[in-house]
Amino acid sequence: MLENIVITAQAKVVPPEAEVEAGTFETLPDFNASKVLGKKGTRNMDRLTALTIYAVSHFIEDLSDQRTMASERLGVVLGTAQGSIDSIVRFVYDSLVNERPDLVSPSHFANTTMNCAAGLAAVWYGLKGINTTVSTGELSALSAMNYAVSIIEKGYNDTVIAGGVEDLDGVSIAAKAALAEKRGISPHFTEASSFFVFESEPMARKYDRRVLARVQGVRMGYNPFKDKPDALVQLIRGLLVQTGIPAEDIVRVSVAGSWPQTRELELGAVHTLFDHQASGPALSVLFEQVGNTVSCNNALQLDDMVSRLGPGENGLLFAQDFNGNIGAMVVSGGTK
Amino acid sequence: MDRERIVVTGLGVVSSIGSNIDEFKNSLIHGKSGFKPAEHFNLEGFGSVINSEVKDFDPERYIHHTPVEELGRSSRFSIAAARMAIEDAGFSAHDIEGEPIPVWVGTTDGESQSLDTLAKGWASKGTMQFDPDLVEISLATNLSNAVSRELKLCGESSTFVTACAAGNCAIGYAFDQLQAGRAQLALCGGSESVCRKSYVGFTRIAAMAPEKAQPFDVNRKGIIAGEGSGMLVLETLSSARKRNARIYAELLGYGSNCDANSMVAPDVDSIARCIGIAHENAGVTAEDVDYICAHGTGTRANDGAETAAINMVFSSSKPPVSSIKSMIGHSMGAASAIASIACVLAIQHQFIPPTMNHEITDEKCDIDCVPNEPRFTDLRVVQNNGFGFGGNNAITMYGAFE
Repeated sequence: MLENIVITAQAKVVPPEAEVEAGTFETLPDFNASKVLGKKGTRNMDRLTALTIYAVSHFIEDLSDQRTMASERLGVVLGTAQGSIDSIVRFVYDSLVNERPDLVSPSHFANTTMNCAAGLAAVWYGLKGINTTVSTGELSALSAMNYAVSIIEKGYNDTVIAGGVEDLDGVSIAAKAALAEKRGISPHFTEASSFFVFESEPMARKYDRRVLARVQGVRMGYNPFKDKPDALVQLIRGLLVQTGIPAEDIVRVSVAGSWPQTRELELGAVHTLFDHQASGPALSVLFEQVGNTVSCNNALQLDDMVSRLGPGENGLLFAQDFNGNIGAMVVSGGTK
Repeated sequence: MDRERIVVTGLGVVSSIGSNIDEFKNSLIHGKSGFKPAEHFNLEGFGSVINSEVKDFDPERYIHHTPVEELGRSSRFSIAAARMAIEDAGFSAHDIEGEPIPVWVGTTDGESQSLDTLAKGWASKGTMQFDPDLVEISLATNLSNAVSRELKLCGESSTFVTACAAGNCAIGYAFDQLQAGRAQLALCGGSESVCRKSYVGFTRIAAMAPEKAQPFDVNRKGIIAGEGSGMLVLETLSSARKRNARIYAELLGYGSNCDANSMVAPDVDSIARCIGIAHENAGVTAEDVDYICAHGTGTRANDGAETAAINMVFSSSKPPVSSIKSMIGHSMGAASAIASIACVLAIQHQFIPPTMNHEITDEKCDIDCVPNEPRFTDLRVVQNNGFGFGGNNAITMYGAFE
């Protein structure tokens, strides 16, 4: 069991509830950087960065003491599979269609690096600790949160903002449409941003922050034989042993359910792990709630879990993505 | 409880000055330049371009189980370097199949040439109807996933995209995970391809040199774009001892922070702080450091700021500081991983690679930059700097294994 890593804030930005309909891309209506963050410093901000900073803005006031006194111990870890693909591809497009290849906007160059959102969030809020961006396909958010837990455990930083974000903008939509067509399904993608404050329990006490949930354990892996179910089941079993929490004590399970093939594997794992129980855990399938938010999936799974778990209740969230990335996390509810 | 020591037991490199360890080492010693006319990316609209590309790379030499056409350039590089590192560590591919060995690869631009091609398709057709195979190939995660898939590994497989600090970031994370007992062995490093996006961007911000990189020189004009992959096998000491592995060097620790100031310009105070964090985490003092392998890009901004930060920390005894980017150009997210390999070789063979193309030292860069000739000397502690856009800083510390 991990010693004393807790979650003390959560925030998410998702489009208002709508039917999960095949063949759709769910975007935040009327969302742009200057509208949600003000005109200062937002003129060249890309959508992914705006979604990130907007989510973080919901709880950043809770960290104001630390930002003043110990900003070097405040970190950011962000999960994104591809950064702002719209910024990247559009920048190159501009270099091809304009009269000269260097007729591109220099202020857009920074947007083309995949760590732009995390870096700019740090600039906005003066967060000088570790700042990392990680790409693990549709497990990017879980990777980011796993990384955050690791740096707190090591004592490098005290408090880390971590989560995942996915934007739907021009190139991003076209790329996802192409992928879905290749995989033979009608897509339902949704843009979203979801972040948490992770820290040690002593730090939460020091700054008088309520423990929303306790991180019991996280585990990531890869399944090179991606259509075989064993890897995901083995990973989860290993995690439960590591946390000392048996399957019988899990009251709530969340799977991502992003693609038919991965949903089948995930639900298969649920059956294998929990079917023998007289009354199994409550089950949520993220895709049925909100669609596929790609890099934000596991963060939204956690957000839902944290909101629903009662004090001391144990929850398990996990996912397998199309490329074989697998991961799971066990959390228990804090005081509400 | 004593923490496990973490050692380097395998190296694999794909670079513009050699794609095997011996050739790479000899190139470093002899100051070989990788700078040549560019061939491998979309140069439309530019005149002649000099960069530092990997030459004569035959992917099929290293990639046996994945159709090469399903892989972008950066994934081909990372698989090649990973396979070389694993074999260098004394394993056959069969030995490691199905093992929970994690793979962590750092990059700035991921499958950048594939992304360039998506843009080209859009520009040619006038619509964003992307080739779905190309979309799949262009995912940044592939740089690590492709290694795990090819070598059939079951550990975590993630790509760190923290710009030009990414290689050190991946290596540092591997260090942490091994020390935490989450694995006994890990493959980590960085991979990058030359690409139009990067060439256009650095040219636009006047940070691209026309012919050569001249770190710390008063007439330096910017970076030379580079590419390649450096992968290391990191292992716990107990695992290495159990199998009598050849130990190159020890990874003593690393430090990482964020400037939180400018997205593109380096911050002297923040870099100095990062150096201090790296020393503290590695259990060394400034006086212990025998050599700094600089970030040394050859831009006006970086080299001045890096020197100022070094001066802040090493007030009394400044070690020599050289930049291998003077030979291989700036390989972005792979840079600090390829430099890590250079540091390990430097410790093992007791030499400091030179800063090539050095004519007149900038008096603001008042360091011993080991100009133009290698130096043969005992090295016990080596510092490897990596600084990136977004204000990301990551510094790894290597030590002679005792």
